[in-house]
Amino acid sequence: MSPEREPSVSSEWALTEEEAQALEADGEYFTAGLLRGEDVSIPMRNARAIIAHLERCDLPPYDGESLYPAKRTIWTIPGEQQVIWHHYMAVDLTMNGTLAAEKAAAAASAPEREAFEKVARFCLTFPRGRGSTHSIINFERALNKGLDAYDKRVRDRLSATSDPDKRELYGALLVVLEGIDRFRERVAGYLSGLSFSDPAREANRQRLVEAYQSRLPMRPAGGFFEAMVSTIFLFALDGSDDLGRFDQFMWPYYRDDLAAGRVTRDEALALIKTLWRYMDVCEGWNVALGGSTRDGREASNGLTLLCVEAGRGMRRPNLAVRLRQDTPEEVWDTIIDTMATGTGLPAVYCEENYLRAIDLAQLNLPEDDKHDYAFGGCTELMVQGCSCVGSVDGDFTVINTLEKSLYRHLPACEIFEDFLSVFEADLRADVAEYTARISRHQEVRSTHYPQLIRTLLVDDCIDRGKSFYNGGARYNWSVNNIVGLSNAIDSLAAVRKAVFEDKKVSREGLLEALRANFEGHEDLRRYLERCPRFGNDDPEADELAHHLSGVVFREFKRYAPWRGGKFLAATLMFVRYADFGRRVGATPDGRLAGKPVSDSAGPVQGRDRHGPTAMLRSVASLQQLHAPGTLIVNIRFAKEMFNTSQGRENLKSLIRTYFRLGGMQLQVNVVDQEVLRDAIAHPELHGDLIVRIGGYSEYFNNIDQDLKLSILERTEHG
Amino acid sequence: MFNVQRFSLHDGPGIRTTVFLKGCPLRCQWCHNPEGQEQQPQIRLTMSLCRRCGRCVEVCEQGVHEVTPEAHLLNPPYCVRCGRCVEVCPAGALEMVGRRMSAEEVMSVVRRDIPFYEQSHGGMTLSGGEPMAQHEFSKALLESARADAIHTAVETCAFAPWEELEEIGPLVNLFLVDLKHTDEARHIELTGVSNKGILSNIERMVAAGWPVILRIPWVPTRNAEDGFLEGLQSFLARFPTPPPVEFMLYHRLGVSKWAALGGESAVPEDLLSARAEDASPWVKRLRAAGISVIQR
Repeated sequence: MSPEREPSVSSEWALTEEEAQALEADGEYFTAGLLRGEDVSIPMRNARAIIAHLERCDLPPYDGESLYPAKRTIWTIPGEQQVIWHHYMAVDLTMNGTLAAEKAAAAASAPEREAFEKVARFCLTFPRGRGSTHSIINFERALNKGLDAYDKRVRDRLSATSDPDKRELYGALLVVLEGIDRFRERVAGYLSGLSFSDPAREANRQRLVEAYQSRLPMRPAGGFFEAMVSTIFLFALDGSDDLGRFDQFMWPYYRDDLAAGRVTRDEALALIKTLWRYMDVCEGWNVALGGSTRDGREASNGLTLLCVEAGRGMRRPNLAVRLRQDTPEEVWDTIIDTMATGTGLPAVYCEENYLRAIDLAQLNLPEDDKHDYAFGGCTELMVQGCSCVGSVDGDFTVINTLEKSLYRHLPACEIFEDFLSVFEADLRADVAEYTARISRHQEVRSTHYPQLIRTLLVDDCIDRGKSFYNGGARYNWSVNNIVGLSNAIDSLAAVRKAVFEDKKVSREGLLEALRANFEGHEDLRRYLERCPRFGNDDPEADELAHHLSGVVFREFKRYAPWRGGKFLAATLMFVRYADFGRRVGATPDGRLAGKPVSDSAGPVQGRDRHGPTAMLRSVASLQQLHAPGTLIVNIRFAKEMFNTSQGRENLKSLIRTYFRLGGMQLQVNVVDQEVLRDAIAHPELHGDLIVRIGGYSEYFNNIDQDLKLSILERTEHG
Repeated sequence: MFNVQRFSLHDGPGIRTTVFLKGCPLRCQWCHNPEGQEQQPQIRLTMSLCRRCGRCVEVCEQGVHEVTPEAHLLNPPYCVRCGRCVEVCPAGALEMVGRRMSAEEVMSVVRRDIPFYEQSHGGMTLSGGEPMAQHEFSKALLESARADAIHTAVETCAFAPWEELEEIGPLVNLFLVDLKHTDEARHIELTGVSNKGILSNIERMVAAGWPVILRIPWVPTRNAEDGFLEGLQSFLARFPTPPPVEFMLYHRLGVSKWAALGGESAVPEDLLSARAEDASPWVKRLRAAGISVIQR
């Protein structure tokens, strides 16, 4: 649906008191708070909805954990379906117009029916923002100052301005702050009403009751435990998003308490594990560790190690470790230990290359804020505590543009360079259209989605008197996901070789084969599969990779989003590469219609057949410094690699060399049972699986069935 | 050449590129690179990819391929290496293993991973087959690697005239010498050739001060016997400073390669991969005798 709708007229959906109460009786208190009353500003509506939820929601159950909340987020109630709710701050309000219409039809009374009909109308007409925006609140400030200080700041600003929009916003923030304090009281009340026979749980409970009754997080945190309490509370309040540079903002608390004997390393580790478990259960996102201090020194500390250690065997949080040339070896060793547990964490980042890339993007960050870069979501680049970057604002499908260009232009192109030219022109046109669309979405969000919790907790919204999406954050830019780049590279290489160099097929012939999804053209397909491919250190493919990545990444940076900053490219496919693949027909790289596209910035799954050194050299040919949004690259190794000190040293060497060659990020996975089973069932998808033994060479696919099964057994034992 | 394998981790220190030379004077019963024995190119079939479509049968004028719905059999002696079956196979299940490469071609691949060698203290390893069977070519590769300051390792069974070894010795940073048995009669049974020259070469290599690691393929039912352990001990006792020893435990991954080439491995089909514990009595005895045994 286009964001260019009729302006939403509140008389069409504003609820009377009776109607609002009918909704509340139905458990739709968030919606009632949002739509109640006619002359209410959008910020105030959101404030009322938020505090209605905080007042009435079922609290997550507590079972004696060392921190609370536990077990689930505070915003989503499992098993309940509400018509409108704010389950996750990274996404704008979720609206279910269909459900509203159903509830209207099933309504028992006239006010109830009216109410739901209005809700349905609201859902239909209220403009949508589109995209998602992960963010990192300023934990350090909230922990150090306490939220009462925020209250004071807002009141000061309120009395100092006559601007009506700012006054509305500040008023709404004060409502939310009060709501947060009352929520804290509810939590304290809930916890004090419980009791456990198990002494450890009871001790935990009492400690938490004390913490919340003494007004954390409204007052500053004193000590490591209090800082953990405030952190988890704020994390839950923020909708379970990202923690940012946890090892940096928690360090003073840990360092001082450790030195004074108020906490031990093991106690701290246990608390961090509890927090990580909560992030896992909430499907929360990113924690950035290590890197540089604000004044440019090496930043890893004792907490960095604990954070990585606590991540063993965990799916979330996405741990991101920023590695410099002078990062201590201890950090590397802990990283490898955690990688060995096979969940693909932590991901490793080249600090020097990231800093350079940020410079190249001309985001105009002062040195200290530049050093505070961190990640949101999977791994979108932002400065912690003060950013509103689209994360991701949208997906740009290079592969769809290529498909379009092929059908439109290929027949008329006598030489490959001609086609490349028109394809690039198409790309530029599509980027222009895409960026314009994103800017329009940004504009819609600026007026319709005040994101009050983030406005409160992300700098510099309070100072500027502007909401999170309205330019309140200090840094604004837009991170965008590039889809199918690797497929496009392989496709271009195949077109060049098959059509123009070897003249294996005519231009029309190729299009015919694509249209037919290669049915009746199997020979051609096999030929295309043997053309140069990205990921094999083949200059024919890599030269195209270098060129095409440069065109796309740089083109994005030419545009400024509505909210400011730059458009940055990234490859953050998450789990959506199958979805995207469904919308693309057969492609010249031999891919069948509807099949998944590439899952990362690396080679298309299984197409790297010459080992990791060749793969990494290929990936380094992408112009990575121009895409700091992050280009995710996956690589995988057999478990054996992690079991010997030699294997581990070689893995470190591999990563370091990749960084030296210009690589920026790497996610290391372990080949486990599941992968091996799949490789047996689908050998064509696992061409990259290798087995290394002294004096022996082979690819997994070439081993016969029985032996694959015996390798499967082997990994089970070791 | 039958493979230039990048990212080798077990053919010398660090991250290495292993150059597998085709052709070998020995015929070890447990060979895990059977495609390395004959010098000329050979047809190879990957059964797991074969769709039994029979297109290879159609294009082969020599009758190399026999395809039924259940199986695909190879008759390699008929193969004239025309390559047509490789081209037409829709599944990519057929391959001509081994091709001629110039030293420069090989080195252009080896050089690509120089950044990885530098970071990991790795380099280039010659293996196979038997590198000394193409000693001129091996020498050329080693000289080129030296010129590029690439660390060199050679995996060899040392079955070659001493003069040839002498020529390449100074170019090699590390020799990994495979020893299959110390008893001459047993050696002939297991590999087809005598070990007299091999043992003499090893002694001379160590005496020349070249870095040598002795690698013992430890194969149950074949050479993993007391006679060999005792023979090893007495052989090593002859050295003022004996070279370190490394046991290469038997694994089964080579078995499928024999079938893929249309041949048969001489080792029992059901012989299980050896575990580290199996060879540990040997390790203990050698260490007790003051021999350095490497275990990874």
